[in-house]
Amino acid sequence: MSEKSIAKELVNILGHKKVFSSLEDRIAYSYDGTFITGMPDFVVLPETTGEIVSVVEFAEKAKMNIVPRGAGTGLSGGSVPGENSIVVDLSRMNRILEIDRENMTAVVEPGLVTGDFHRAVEDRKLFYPPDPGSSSVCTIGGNVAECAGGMRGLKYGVTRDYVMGLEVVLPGGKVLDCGGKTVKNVTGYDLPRLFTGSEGTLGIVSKAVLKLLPMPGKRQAVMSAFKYLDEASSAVVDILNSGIIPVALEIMDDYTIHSVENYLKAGLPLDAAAILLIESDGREEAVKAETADIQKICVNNGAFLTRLSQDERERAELWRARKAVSSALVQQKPTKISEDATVPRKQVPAMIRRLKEISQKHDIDIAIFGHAGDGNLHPNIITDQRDAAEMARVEKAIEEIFQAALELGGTLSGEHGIGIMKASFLSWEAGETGVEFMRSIKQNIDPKGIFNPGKIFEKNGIRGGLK
Amino acid sequence: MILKNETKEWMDLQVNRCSKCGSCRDMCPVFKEVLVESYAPRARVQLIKYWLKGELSISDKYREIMDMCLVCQTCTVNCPNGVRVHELVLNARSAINEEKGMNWTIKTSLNMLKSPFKQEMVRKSLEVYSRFMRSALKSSGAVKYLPGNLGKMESLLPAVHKKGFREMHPQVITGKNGGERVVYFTGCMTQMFYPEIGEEVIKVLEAAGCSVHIPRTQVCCGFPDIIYGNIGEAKELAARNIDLFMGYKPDYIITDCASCGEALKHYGDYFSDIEGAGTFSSLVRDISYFLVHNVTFDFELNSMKSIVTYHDPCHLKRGQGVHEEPRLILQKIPGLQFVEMSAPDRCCGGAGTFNIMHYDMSMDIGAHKLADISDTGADIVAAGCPACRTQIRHLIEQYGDGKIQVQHPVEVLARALE
Repeated sequence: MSEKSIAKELVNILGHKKVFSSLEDRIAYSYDGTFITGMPDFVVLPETTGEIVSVVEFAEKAKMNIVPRGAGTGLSGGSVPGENSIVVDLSRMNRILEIDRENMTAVVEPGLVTGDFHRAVEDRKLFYPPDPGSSSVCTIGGNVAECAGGMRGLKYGVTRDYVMGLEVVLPGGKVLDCGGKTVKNVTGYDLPRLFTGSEGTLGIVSKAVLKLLPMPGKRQAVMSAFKYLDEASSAVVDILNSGIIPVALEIMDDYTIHSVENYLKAGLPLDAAAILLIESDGREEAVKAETADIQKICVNNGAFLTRLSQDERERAELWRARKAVSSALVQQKPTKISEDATVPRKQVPAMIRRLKEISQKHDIDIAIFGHAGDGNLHPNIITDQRDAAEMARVEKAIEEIFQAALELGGTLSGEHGIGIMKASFLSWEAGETGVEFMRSIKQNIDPKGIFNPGKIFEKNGIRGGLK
Repeated sequence: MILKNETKEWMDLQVNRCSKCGSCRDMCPVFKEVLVESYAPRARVQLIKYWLKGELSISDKYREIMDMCLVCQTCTVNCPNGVRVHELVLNARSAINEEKGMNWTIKTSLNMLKSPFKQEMVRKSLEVYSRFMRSALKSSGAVKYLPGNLGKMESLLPAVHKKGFREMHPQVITGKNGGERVVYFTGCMTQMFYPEIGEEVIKVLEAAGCSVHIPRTQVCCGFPDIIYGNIGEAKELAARNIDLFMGYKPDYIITDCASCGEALKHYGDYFSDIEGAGTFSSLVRDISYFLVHNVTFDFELNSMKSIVTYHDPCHLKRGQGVHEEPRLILQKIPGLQFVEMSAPDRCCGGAGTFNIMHYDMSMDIGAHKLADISDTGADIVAAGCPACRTQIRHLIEQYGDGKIQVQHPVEVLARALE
C-alpha cells in the first residue's frame, strides 16, 4: 500500500481529527524520555477499544507495525517507533470508568494520567501506591506496559501488584479479557501478569482493573547523613531487620548531594558520603514509634546528622532535595542517562563502589541515587550527547554497569524496562533458554511480529544499544 | 530572551537542555485540550531543535504549532531542566516572520499601535462603530447571523468611550509634599477601553500622596510585537518610551497592565544597547506591588460586603513574580470576604489576541477558569490585567451567569476608599 492510500484508509476508519502524518507530527512522536529517536509513519489517537481494534486489523492488512504509546515518558525507548510504523497514542482514552469502594478496585482506560488517578482515589480516602517519578504526566497504560515502580516499591510493591484484570487488544484484533475483581484468582495462567511489563510487544491494554488500598493516615520523614557509605548501608539493613518496612528508603551519594546543594542551597551537609531519606506511613502512633526507631538506628550506625519532620511542611522540605535531583544534575551537563540496574539489597554498597570505579575508569560523571531499600539504584550518567568521544566511553561504562549488577546477583532493569536500550543485553541475564522461552511466547501471540518490534528482543541481531 | 546575533547559539543551548522528560505535558493548557503531543511544549522544543539543525523547514504546520502557544510561561517556570520554552517559541516566531513574512492581519493591527495618532484613529473608529453599528447589530438581532463565531467574538470588544483616557486628564496631578514622583504608563487597554481602571489608579496614587504624571505621547510597550516575533518594531517603541519617560526624572514608572509591566521590565534585558534602558526597567512597578512595597499603605477604608476571588494573570505572576500583593490589598478591605479559587494561576486563555486568532481553543481553555471562578460563589473576580479582564468578562457574559463582575484589584480598593 502506498503512503497516501494508508493515510486515506486511516482517516476513513478514524476521521481526520485522529490521524496525523505531517513531518512535524512525526517528529513529535519520534522520542520518549531517553535520547533515542525513531520516526513513525503515522500517528493515530483512538478513543475507544473498537477504534483500537480497527487500527490493529488495518495495520495487519497494510503490513505496518504497531507502536503503542502513553505519555512518552519511558526511560528505555519502549515507545520509540521503528520503521514502517503506526504510533497508537492512547492519551485520549483517559476516563476513570469506575471506582468501587466496597471492593476497593477501579476500572480505568489506559490513557489516564497516573497523577490524576492518584487525586481521584485519594479524594475518596483510597490509595493507589505505584508512583513512578513521572506520575504527574505518565499514564496507567504505560505503567502497565513497563511495569512501573517508584519510591513506594519497598513497602507496597510495583504496578504488577495492583493489576487485577486487563482488557487487551491482541495482534489480529481479537479482544482478550483476563483477571477480574477478586483478590484470589487461579483460573488458568496468570495472564494480567504476562501482559504487565510486556512493553507493548503482546497487545494493547485498552482497560485495566486496579487494586486499591485504604489511605494511610499519617506520613513522617527522616533524613540522616553519614560520613561513610558503609554506615548508611548498614543502617538500611538494620532498619529492615528491626521489623520496620518504611514506605520509602532513598539514598543520595556525594556527587548527587553536591549537585543538589549547588542548585537548591537547601543546607545539605557537603561532607556527607551519603544521605538517607526514609519515610514511614500508617497510624499516627505506629509512625511515631517507627520514626523514633529509625533515627536511633541511623545514629547507632554513625549518622552525624538526622532530622525528623514535625508536620507536612517539614516533610515536603525534607523531600525537596530528593525531588530536585534530576533538575540539579542537568545543570552540570545537558544529557542525563538514567539507568536502573538493580541488585539485592545487601549488595547496595558493593554496587555503589563498582559504580564509582566505573566512573573513574572511563572518566565520566555518574550520580548515584535511588531506592536503596529495594536495591533499585539509579546511576545517572551526566554527559553531553554532542561530545562523541565521551559518548563512546559512556557506552562502555553502561555495559560495565550491567555486568556489575548481574555479577552481584541483580537485574538489568528494576523498573524502566528493556525497550531498545537494553535489548542487546537481554541474554546476559535471561540466558539462551530464557530468551528462547520469551521469544516463543512472543511468536505465538504475535506471529507476524508487528507489535512493537525491536523492543525487548534484538532485531535481526543488530545491537539496540546506544546507536 | 536574547534577540541578537548570538540568538541561534542561545537557542541551541536551550534545546539541548531539554531531556524530553515530558513533565510539561501536564502544564500546557493548549496540550491539555488537544492531547496531541505535537502541541506539547516538549514537541515545540524538539521541532525548534530540528529547525536549528537544518532538518526541518518552516511550514504552515510548524507555524501553526508555534502560533498555538499562549506564552503563559507555565512550562518555562516549571521545567525541571530550566529550559526557557516560551522564549524559544518567541524566537521561533521571529525566525518564521523573517523567512515567511508576518501574518497580514497581525501586522496591520500592530502597526496601528505604533503612534498616539494612529492609536487614536483606531480608537475613534471603534468608538463610532460602538456608538452606531453595535447597538443596531444587537437590537436588530443581526449579530446572531454573523458568520462563524463572529457574533460571539464581537462581544470581546469592550465599550469604547468618546475620549481616550489620557485626553480626559491633565498631564500632571500634584500630590502632597514629599510624595513619590510617579509617571503612569497607561497602556493601550486603559487608554482605549478601560478608562475606569485609570481613574482608580489616579485616585489611589493621589490618596498615597504621589505626584502623578501622564505623558500623552507615550506609545505601545511593544509586548504585542515581542509576542508576535516582531522584535525590531518593539525596539523602536522601547526607545521612544525610554526617551519620553526618563525625561520626567521619575521615582517610579507605574503600570496597571500585567503585559505592559512585563515588557517594560524587560527593556533593560532585551534592548540593553538603548541608553537608559536598564534604569528605566529598574523603575517599573506594577500598581499592586507599588502600593504594598513603595508607599505606606495607611488608607482609611470603608467596609465592603463582597465576596471576592482573584485570578493570577500569567504575565503578573510568572512574568513578574507579583501574586501576593494583589491578595494583600484585597484582604485589607474590611468586610470583604476573600475566597481563593482552585488553580488561580491557570491561564484564562485570553492571551492578548489568542482569543481572536483561535477563538474556539481559547474558549475551551477559558471554560476551566469560568468553572473555577463560579465555584467560589464570588460576586467579584479581580485580575490585575486588562487582557484577562476582557477574556473573563466575555466568558462570564457569553457562557456564565453574566452577573459576576470583573475588576482590577485597584478598582476594588478605590471603591473602599470612597
